[in-house]
Amino acid sequence: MKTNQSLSKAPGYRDSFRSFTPDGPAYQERSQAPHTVGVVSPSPQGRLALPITSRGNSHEGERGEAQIVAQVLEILAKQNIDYGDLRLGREINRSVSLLDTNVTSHQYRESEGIGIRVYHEGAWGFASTVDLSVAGLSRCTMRAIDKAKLSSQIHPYSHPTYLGYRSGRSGEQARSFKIWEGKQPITAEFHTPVLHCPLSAPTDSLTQPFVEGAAIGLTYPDIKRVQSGLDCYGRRRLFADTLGSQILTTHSIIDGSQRFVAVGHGTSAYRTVNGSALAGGLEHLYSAAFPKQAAMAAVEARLKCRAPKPPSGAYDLILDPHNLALTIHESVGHPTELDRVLGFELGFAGGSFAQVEDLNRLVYGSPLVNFTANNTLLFGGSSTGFDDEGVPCQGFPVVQNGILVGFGSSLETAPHLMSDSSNGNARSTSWCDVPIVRIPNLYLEPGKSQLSLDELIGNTDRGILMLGHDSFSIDQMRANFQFGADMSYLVEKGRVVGPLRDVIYQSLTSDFWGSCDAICDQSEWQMHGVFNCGKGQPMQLGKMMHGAAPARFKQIKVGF
Amino acid sequence: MDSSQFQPMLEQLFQHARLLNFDWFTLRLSIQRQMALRIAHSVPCRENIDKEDVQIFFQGALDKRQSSFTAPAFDETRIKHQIDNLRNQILSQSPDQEWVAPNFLDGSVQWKSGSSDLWSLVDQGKLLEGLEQHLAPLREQGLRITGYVEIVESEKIQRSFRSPDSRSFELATREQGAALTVTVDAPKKGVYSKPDMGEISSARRGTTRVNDGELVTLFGEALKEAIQTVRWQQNSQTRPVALEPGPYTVILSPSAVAELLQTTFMYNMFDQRKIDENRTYLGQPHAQKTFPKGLTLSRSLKLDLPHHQTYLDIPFNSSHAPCETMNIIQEGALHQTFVSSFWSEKTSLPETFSAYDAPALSLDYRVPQNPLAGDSVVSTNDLEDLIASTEDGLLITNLWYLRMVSEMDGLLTGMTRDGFFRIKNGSINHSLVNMRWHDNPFRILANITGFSRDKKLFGLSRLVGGGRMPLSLVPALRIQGFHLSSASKF
Repeated sequence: MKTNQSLSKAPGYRDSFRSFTPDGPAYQERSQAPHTVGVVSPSPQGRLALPITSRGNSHEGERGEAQIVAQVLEILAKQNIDYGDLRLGREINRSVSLLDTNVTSHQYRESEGIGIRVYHEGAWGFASTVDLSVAGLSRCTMRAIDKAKLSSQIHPYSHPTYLGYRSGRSGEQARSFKIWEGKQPITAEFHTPVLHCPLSAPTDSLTQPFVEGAAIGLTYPDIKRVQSGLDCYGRRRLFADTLGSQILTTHSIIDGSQRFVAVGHGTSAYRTVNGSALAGGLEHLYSAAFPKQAAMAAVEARLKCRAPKPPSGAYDLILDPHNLALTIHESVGHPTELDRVLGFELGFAGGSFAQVEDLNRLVYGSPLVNFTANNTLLFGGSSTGFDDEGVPCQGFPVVQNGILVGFGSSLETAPHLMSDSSNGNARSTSWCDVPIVRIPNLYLEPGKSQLSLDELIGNTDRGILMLGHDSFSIDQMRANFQFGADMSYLVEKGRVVGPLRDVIYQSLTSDFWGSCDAICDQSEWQMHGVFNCGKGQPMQLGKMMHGAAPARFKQIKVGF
Repeated sequence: MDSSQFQPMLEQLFQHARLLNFDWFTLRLSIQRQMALRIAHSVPCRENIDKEDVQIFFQGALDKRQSSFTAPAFDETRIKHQIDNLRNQILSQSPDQEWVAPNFLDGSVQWKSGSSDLWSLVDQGKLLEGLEQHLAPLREQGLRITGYVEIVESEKIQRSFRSPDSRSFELATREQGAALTVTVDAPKKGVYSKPDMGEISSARRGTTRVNDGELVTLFGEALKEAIQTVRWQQNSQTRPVALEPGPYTVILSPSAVAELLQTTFMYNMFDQRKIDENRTYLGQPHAQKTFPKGLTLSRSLKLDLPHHQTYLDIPFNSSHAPCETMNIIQEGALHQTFVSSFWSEKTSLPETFSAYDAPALSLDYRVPQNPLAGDSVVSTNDLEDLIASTEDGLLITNLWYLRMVSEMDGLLTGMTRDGFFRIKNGSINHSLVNMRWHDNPFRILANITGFSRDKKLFGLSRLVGGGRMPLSLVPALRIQGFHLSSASKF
């Protein structure tokens, strides 16, 4: 099994999460997970089996990646632009949907092409194409250059002027500053470890866990339907820039879910088993053990049909890692994206209640609360070796002892922090997208004192235990939010006393994290990925991971 | 790129697939071009984006099993190989017992709107200059504009074939559309500070008549609307205040109405199977199914746009079945729901089809000749008149992040955004701190007490982007008893 050294040597790597390195127990567990269908062969070299096809027009014959990249770089050099980069990529999305034990949809979506980005005299131009012929590449490159030049003529974005606003540079220093100044040219490869490739596996090897799970669920009265879905994503991407970088990466993520729908007692309810959207291959599908969880999910869906809604009011909430993953994503991940903080996204995704001046000052949560970003963590959706501006993936603290200490940045946004170097969070969903600042793999550090979930429930007098996530909504400044849970239980005098349905909690971000009074220890820590995080115009869908141990939050508003 | 260069390949692929004895298959060539401008900090073009994509989509069905793929549309040999692979793999799938062969006519239809060459109609230099003319004076006034302009042209050729009767159908479409959003605020602490509390507003527009002049005009209109809202906020006598949670009379701007209705459709709340199986609100015995008598909610094939323009939608769905306008609510009563092919076979209810991909939505109110007792809906010219006719209420200019909370209760949540005001004695009194709301869209429609005859067209929902933009043509509405549940911090 080949492992990539950068995973364990990259800055930000945490000893406390050794279990998620290739030699740790979590990885071993997945590599040894039983295959429900025995025909899936190991992925060659332990990486994604996704051969590149570099085709041109038939009269040109096949051209390699190197030739394609060289042609674009040559044009960029001749046109005397300030900076340019490109992403040559091939992507495959494979998805399967099932209703009960029937496959209702099997889709295989493949795309291939190039996106070229040019920075010239204070303006960005971007063009993408699927036409990789000599003529097609030439047209696309010139389109990107023309866009940048046209924009700079109308009104340059004037980045140096704006940079001077906060960076403390003098006017002259600011005007001469180049956003790529701190960037080093890199030649490298990175490959996400994949034990079993999901893109080429037979369809029944993808569906079998769901078919088994559905069959179990449908034996329960009131379970009227079981909806399942699997999404597999794989990509090969070659990044190059006018500084001389050339970086080849392959990456794969797999995500699945199975929902058991009960109809009874005059209503309907569901319970969902999730597969966690982690980087790797089919090993994650098998280790998610859908059939093993089916019976409990079916029982809980039926329980929800009979369960009462809790009276509106303030409760102590015990949130499981899956529920917290989404709350972390929305209330910590997005507001600490530096492009939002700087107002670039006010028109759609929104801004942030946190500001640059808040760094090292803003009380984000209680002293127990520590958030760490780490794009080198094994299984993380953002662990791609390098971001899409060619900056190495790395780790950095975001909140320490409850105080805001970091933002996720890109080449363009980092100088606003008086830092010349990006911390590697510029990502484009596809080769045809412009890199924008995305949430990194971001997790809540486990509590330092020994505390299990059972012990946390045991010392809670009156509260609600919330498992998984459901309805979610947050304002555009990431302050007021509402989250639901897939399953909730009332806790009284240290015991789980009965199920509840339709539980939602509302709060303001810093009030909520400020109310955190207990976090379970590392033994309860889990990671859950996000497969489709929407942001940007045109809309892009990002992938990342969030981790947490169960935690308790005091007196949070439940209901509306 | 032009579809004609791909026609010979398309014909070869079609003939290749015919020999493989699928029960049914469909083959589609899609060419999409997208031009996008991202406006930030009042500069017309932070990013200038130009994307083109050409894809082949193939879907085949055999013995109630079906599968599909999308591939780059350049390599005929490779696509043929993928069709063969799909044919070989499909039988390893478990059958879909609910699959019904699409029913379509024999023949071909061309459905092309707009020019064959969109980019000749949109001179980007002129477009950028036009935007800059709007933006330059606003920069001087210290206003910060963030925005987005997207222009899309989509060309598709799709052929379907059915084995039992060798029926084939070809639909060739070309469509063009554009959408834009502008957000205006007046930051007092510098261009990179967060918006001042309550002093931010946004406006949106959509159009199917695309040229640089039209876009510059629409941009100016949207800017004017957003700036007016910011001025209302700046002229407030008090700082924005947070309201107590509870029911309020609100006016929803057309933008907010479009968001609300699109979200209701997104959750398939009008699906007859879900209703029959009691898996959604309308299946509940107490569900709200009556509305003010003059109300009509439609999935329309034809929209009467401002300035005597008409938009005609493609009268076929993505499986090539012909479809008609659906009146979901008609004369104030729930009239038509969505019945799938499978559910039609199972229940004998007539099948309903909605139009291709993302059909247009329209909400209308006509003063009934014989209004019901208590049916007292005020009809005004436009949003301003609706505000003027309101003694005490709130104005919500935009809704944001709408999500289902409980489908059985039909309960949605969301936030107010970029323009939230108190109305007193028919005019804007002061701005408010944004709030979360929880309410039921059916109850909201039932509680309409006022509407504007002026309707706005929106082509780009915040929830749904992509190549072909769902259109909504909707008025402003006044609603009583709209439930606000908690305040934000700004």
